[in-house]
Amino acid sequence: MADINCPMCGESNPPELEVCQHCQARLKPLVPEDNEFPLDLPEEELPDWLSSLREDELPEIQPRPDDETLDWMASTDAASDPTLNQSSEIPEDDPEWLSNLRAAEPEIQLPQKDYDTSPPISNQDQDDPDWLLELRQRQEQEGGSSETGKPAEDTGDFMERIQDLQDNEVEAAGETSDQPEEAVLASLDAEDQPAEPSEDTSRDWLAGLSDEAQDLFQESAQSAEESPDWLAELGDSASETIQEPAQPAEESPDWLGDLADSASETIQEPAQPAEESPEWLAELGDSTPETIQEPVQPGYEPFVEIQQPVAEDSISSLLEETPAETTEDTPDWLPQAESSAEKTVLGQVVARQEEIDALLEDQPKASQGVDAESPDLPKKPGFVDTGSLPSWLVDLKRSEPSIPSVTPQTPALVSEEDSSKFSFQSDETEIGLTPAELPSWLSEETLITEEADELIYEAEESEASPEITPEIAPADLPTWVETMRPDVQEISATDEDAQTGAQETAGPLSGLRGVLPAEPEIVRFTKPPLYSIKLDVTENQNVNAALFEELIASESETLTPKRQIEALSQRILRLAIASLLFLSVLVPVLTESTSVASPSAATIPPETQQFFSLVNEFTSEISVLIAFDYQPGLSGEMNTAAAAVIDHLLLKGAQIATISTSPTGPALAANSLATTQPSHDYITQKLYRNLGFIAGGTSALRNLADNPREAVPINVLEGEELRSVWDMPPLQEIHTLHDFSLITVITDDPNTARAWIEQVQPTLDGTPLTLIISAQAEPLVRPYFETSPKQVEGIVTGILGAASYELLTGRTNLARAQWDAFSMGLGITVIVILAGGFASLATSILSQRQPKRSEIQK
Amino acid sequence: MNLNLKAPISTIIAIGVGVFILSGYFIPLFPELRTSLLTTAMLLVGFALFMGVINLSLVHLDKIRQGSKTALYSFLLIISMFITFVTTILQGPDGFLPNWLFSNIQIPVETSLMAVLTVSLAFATVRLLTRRLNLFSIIFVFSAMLILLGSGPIFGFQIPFIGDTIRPYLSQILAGAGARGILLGIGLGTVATGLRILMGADRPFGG
Repeated sequence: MADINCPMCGESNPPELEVCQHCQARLKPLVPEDNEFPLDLPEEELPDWLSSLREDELPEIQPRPDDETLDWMASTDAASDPTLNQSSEIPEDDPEWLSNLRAAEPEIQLPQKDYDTSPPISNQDQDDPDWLLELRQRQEQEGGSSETGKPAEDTGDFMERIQDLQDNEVEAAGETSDQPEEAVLASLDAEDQPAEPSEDTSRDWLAGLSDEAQDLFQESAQSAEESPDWLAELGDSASETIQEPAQPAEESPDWLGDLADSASETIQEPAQPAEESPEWLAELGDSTPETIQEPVQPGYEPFVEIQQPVAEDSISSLLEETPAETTEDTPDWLPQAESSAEKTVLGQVVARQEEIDALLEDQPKASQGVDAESPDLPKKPGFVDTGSLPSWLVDLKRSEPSIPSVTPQTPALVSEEDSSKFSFQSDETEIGLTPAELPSWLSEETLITEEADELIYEAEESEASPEITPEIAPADLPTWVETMRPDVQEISATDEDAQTGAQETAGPLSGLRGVLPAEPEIVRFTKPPLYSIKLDVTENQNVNAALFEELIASESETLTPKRQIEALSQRILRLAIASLLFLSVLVPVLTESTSVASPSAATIPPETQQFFSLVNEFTSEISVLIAFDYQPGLSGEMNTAAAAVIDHLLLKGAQIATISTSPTGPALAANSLATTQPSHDYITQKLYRNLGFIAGGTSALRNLADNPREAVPINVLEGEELRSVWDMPPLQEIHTLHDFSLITVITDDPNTARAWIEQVQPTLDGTPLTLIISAQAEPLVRPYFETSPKQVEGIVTGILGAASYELLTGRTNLARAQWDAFSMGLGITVIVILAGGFASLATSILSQRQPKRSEIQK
Repeated sequence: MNLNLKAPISTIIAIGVGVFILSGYFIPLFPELRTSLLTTAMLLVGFALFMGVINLSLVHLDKIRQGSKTALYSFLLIISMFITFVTTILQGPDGFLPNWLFSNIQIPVETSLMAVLTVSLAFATVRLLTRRLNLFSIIFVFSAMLILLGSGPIFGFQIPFIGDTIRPYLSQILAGAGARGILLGIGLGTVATGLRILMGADRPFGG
């Protein structure tokens, strides 16, 4: 026999040792093997895959020491059997195919015998319970019978024998279809009787299964001779599928892949309760325990005392009670914990089983929902379209999943290499079955309860994400080591250290409190964190910093000279424009040019024409009040505009009185009359009356309009006598403003013109009010001329109006003298604006096309 | 006991005089009283102008005394004002020296400023399309060009259609319409301001 590798340290040990000689870890499982099948089948009678498995498994399968068998094992064993008995209650209306399947199930489980083979138990009988002794005796007896009962030809093609078995059972099903299931199974047991000792009443049904499996091999070998070649190939491929359960489905034909999938799924599905699993799976699951547990013998009466609903819970309770069946290395506290655990385990298992049931109940619903939403997805392995297959193949397919179902009964202590052979790969998820040191029948149920949550979880994971592979973290420790983990609650209730100490979170002592730490706590100090003073700058931050530095540098370097250049260009442009304008005006004035023709009569404005007509109608001895209300800066335009009118008035013999609402008005009046009318003696002799400045704005105008004598109380020194101006000519007859023949306002401000119109004009009573205004005030003053009745009788606007007025009077004055300069100035101004405007437009368009460059330059 | 009678009295005087003068436009009653009030207002405005001149002189004298950077300009202002005031007092407004000062200093200075303004406006018009290139700038420059072309003969040549049609249309119709709108707005604003003062809502006189 080969050496046993220690699951803890991995060292090789002689097969006879129970404890590792290196690390003292247990090498052999504690659970006794209830192997009832012959172990010593000839190698040549077995298939290759069975032989290979046998070579690998036999050395590791060790009987459980008798002294380690505890009482709870009896209850557990009893609990497991009623569970199976419960599932064996077959309704009477089962279909025919289910009967065939149930009949074929124990036969196909035949290879399991090879897995469960273990050396006979020899020296520990005195400590084992009675039922275990009976099991061992029966195993020994069956070992001898099986040696003689197995023909050499049974080790032929496995699939051929299966085919023969199917054919036989189809015929048998036709005969026994009217009989109850119990009768059929009883007949199977009857066939098994010769292979079993008559006194063995405990596991006779298992013996029947073993004989049935042997028959299966024989019949399969016979059918191989009768089957065609393609079926032989099918049998070969099926055997390969059995030998290589982890082979991906895509490497085999579709229908065979479905068979393999169904087989693997059948292995996984036993964890689900029959009533909550899918229908097809429930039927398959019901068939297996039914055929196994049907022949319950009276030897199991103590076990039957436990009710069936509690059976599965009791199996789960084995997981909780497993620490109690450890070896002599069991610590002292463990028996105490065991006693309390036995009391509470039943309730805990029941609660856990309820959770499992809830999960299993949701699983088929979820799978149905996925199938409904995605009909194109691969179906479950059990949903193979049987309509296109022959009947025998359909039956074969139905019986095929039960073949690998023996896997849960593999030896508990399996090396890592061997465990891969017992791993089954479903469509998308690979599930590794954890070896356990429990009996085969118990390991199956343990697998059911222990892996139930994990299987459900992995099934959900496989539906959600096909690429997820299950975690195999628990494989680091064998199950029996895991089961050594004590119940923390029980320990903490009795041990003060366990209550106060820190709880271990990893390793074999995980969950324990009060364990001595690997290093004293005083050593567990940490160094103060070191903070680097070096600035951790990324490459992107360096780039940004460089850009920012460049921006700052550009701000401080080049702005000033470029601004100077721009200012210099503007100054040059401004000087150029000024020079052109001055030259255009200065040259005609200096040359006294009169080359430009005066405006034609057709272009004379109507207000100017009316002003002229009004003045022209006056006869001699008229008094005119002229208001000089303009700024000295506009005296050039205003004097030119007023010169022709005043000249015309003087020609008409008007006596002039001047007044102003501006402080500079009196001086402007004197300057304007002196400079524009030097040809009139009336002006040079200063016969006109300057009423000066009246303060108060509109109020002063209103007061002047109501009572001019009181508004302007001016006394003039005439000779040696100081006299009032109102007593001197031409103001002797003037008491109110409407006593004047004409009132003319010379102004550049439309507001001043509006004040005269609003405050004075209503009090004139027919005396005409005329305006001599600047060109800039025309738009705001002209509406008063266009009213009806007219508030303003005539308007002379700027140089153009004066030139027109001169044209009407026929006398050249300042307007004509400035007409050439005015024409040249207008022409140059128009040219400058046009040329500069187009140049600016082009520059603006070009600058908009290159905005970034101009911004950088600024 | 301190009673602040300044505010009520000033408010009563302002509102009363305003209502009385306003009523004089509609009801010709008490013309002498209205004329007296207006004459008093003119005297007050004249005195205010005189007080302004005194205040201006004191400010610039203070700057000369403090020796600020603009003390030279303040000194020139004080000197010019004193000379003009004295010569005008001695010779009157029509005197030779006051007319000479006005005709040879004030009028040329202000006229030069207007000439500089003309050059600045021409330069601003040239730079307008560079500084602010949008629809309104283009309309402004184009309108100014049309007015200039129609205001007189360009190099002795009178542009017929622009001078007799385009320019009058722009200055008398378009500009006249805008001017009337402005005048209406001014009139409504003046009425509203007057009513607020008469009702005491605005008290520019204090109180």
